[in-house]
Amino acid sequence: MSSAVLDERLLRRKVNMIMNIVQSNKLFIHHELLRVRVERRIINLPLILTMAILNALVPKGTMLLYGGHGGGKTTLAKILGRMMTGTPLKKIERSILRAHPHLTEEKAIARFDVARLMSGEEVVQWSEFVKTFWKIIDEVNRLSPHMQDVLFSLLAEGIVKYGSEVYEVRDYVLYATLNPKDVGTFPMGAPFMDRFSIAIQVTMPKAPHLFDILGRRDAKLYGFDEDTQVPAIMTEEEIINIWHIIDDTITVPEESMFFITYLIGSFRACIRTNKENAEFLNVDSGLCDNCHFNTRESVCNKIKTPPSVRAAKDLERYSKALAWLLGYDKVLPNFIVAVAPFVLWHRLDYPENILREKPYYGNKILLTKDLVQRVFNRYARRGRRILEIIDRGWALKLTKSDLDELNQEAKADVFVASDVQPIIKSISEDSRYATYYKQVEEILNMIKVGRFDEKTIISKIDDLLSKIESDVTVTGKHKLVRELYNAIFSLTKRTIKMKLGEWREIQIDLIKQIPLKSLKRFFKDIIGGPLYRKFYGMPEIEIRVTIPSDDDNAIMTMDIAGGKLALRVFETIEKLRRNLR
Amino acid sequence: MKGEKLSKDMLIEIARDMFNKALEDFFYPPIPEPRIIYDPKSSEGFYIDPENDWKTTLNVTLVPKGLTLDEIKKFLRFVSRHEIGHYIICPYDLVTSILIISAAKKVVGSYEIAMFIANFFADVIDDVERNGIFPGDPIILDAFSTRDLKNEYKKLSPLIKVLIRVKEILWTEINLSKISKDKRDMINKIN
Repeated sequence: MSSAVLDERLLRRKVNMIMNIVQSNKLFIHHELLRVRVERRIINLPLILTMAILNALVPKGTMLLYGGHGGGKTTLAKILGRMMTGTPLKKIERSILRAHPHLTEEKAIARFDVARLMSGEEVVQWSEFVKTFWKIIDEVNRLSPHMQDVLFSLLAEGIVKYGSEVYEVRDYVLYATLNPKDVGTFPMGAPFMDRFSIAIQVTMPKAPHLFDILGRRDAKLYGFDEDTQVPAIMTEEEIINIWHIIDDTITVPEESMFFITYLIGSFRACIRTNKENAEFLNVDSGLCDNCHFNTRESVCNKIKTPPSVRAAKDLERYSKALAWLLGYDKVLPNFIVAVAPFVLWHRLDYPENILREKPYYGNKILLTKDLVQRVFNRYARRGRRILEIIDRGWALKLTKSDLDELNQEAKADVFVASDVQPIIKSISEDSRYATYYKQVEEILNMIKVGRFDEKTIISKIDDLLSKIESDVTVTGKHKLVRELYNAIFSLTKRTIKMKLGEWREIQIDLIKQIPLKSLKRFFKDIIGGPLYRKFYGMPEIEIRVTIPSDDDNAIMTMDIAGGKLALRVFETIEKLRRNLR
Repeated sequence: MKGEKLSKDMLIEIARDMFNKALEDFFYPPIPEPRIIYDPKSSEGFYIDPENDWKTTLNVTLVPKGLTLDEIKKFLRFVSRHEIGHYIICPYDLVTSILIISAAKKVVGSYEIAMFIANFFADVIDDVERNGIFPGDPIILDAFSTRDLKNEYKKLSPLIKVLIRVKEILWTEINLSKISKDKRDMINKIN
């Protein structure tokens, strides 16, 4: 068994240990369950705790903990920070951003060093909150709109600005608590809410659990014992390592990928308008009147603001983290069903009359769960067949009966009517797509039967790629380009293994010989270190670097794939290594 | 075995199953669960209500007598398809429904008669189109013929007789080429 596998198991065991400690030490008590259907059984996990843990297993995870005072939201974020990063609780406490309407940039983000400012020097001192890995914002909706904007750029681009300086917040995990509206709160705009990847409602514990809470030691008097009650189990590096393990090892099979597409698509779909731009007419103001799909069972007529592309990406990220936590190597559609309500509910806006109805009584999560389940039920019955028809459509292999079925399906499924049918139609009517597709197919067949000379076929692919990419009007261009890139990446994948010391010797020469500026920067930034991983991704080239430590003898693994550029990089590195010997 | 005697509950259960199968046949359109009743005294039959969220009502006491279990299932599946067909095929949506009624009203003047005609027109379109999708499907006329037309045609009111005849003509005109010999014979018999 490789050490990488052992590392991974150890890390998972540590995460499970944290969950166990939180429960057994009664640090956060809650009764709600996250039910994950796996094959024929149901796995029950503590809902809030699991979602909060998942948030740390996702790079730059951002989580909203919504609920009334005293539910333990901030405490949960703090104790997880202690156990998952090993940071002392006092330090975590110091870095918490406690929001209030008068919070200024100077208190929250940064300020000039006063002593040096007196001598005319503008030196920015960044706040603990900005610098810390484990970020907590307490009562985020008490931030004024201006401060929301400041934080928006942190969440959106991972940068914060102060004066003329910019701080790049590279790796972090963020938890924000949110209280119900009161006199001191501000509304939070949809784009700001969209930056929070998941959100959970923290409700008061049920009576038996409250009984448990009453029986425990008074934390106000003693605080938490950092050796026994909230011990340091993991480190920041280990969390970052898990991010990479998840990214490297957890796959999202085509059917799961399609389910995400189908789910988000079904929430966005409308045969009349693009809802994201529907300013004057929406589902509760006449948009759906007399529409064929305006029925109680439909999903489309209940969504005012559809989820963004970011939501789709978050669904993928959090489902992958759940798969890893459960010890799976791929994302099953049921994992997506489990996390979807918490990725979506806070980003969606529902008509009030629907939300008020029984059995929702204003509970947005419940309504979101119900809608996700409806889409999943439909997907479970028809998803595979719809995907098959789409694939046949792209491959120009649709029969008359496929087309009849598609037309029929479009009368029953708004997603097919708005997203699938028009695309399939435009592909089948575009003669240029057919011409290009034939050429792509020819290349793929040559690769399949193994009758090719690598350099010739790569230059053939490159030529065809540039032809297709410069043709602005061809339908389904992304599909053709993706097929070609997939082919070229699988053809040119090379792995280089060398000692870190050897890399350090060739690094400067390599940078000199490489043409692309961003690539030069990438190679320049490779420094090594414990559990070091770095990734460079451009459409035409991908490089993945792993280095286990910063020792000169550590073996550095570099995977390179892509077209001509990838080959050139590979050959240059090999040549420089030969010269060393 | 002919003349299957089924309990009320069994009949309702079969109707539910067959409605679900019909939903599957149409790739699960977003319409609600049907309202299935067993009420011999009710004037309700089989219908879908576009103005009430496309809710289908199936009064299973109208299942023809003397059928085998398989025939009962076939009948209920086909009736369910017919009703769902109104959502999928004609009138398809409320706007189309209103357009058909107003077109009829322009000719006959009375709203009530226009409604009647619009329903009949939608039935015909539904039957013809559905027959193209499910070639084995009987047309709605068969349902009537099973119970009413063979034995009780003479008891039908003149209006119903006229409308059935109108329906046959429309159906024949629209779908002449698809008519089987059996059906043609049946139409002739009714004439």
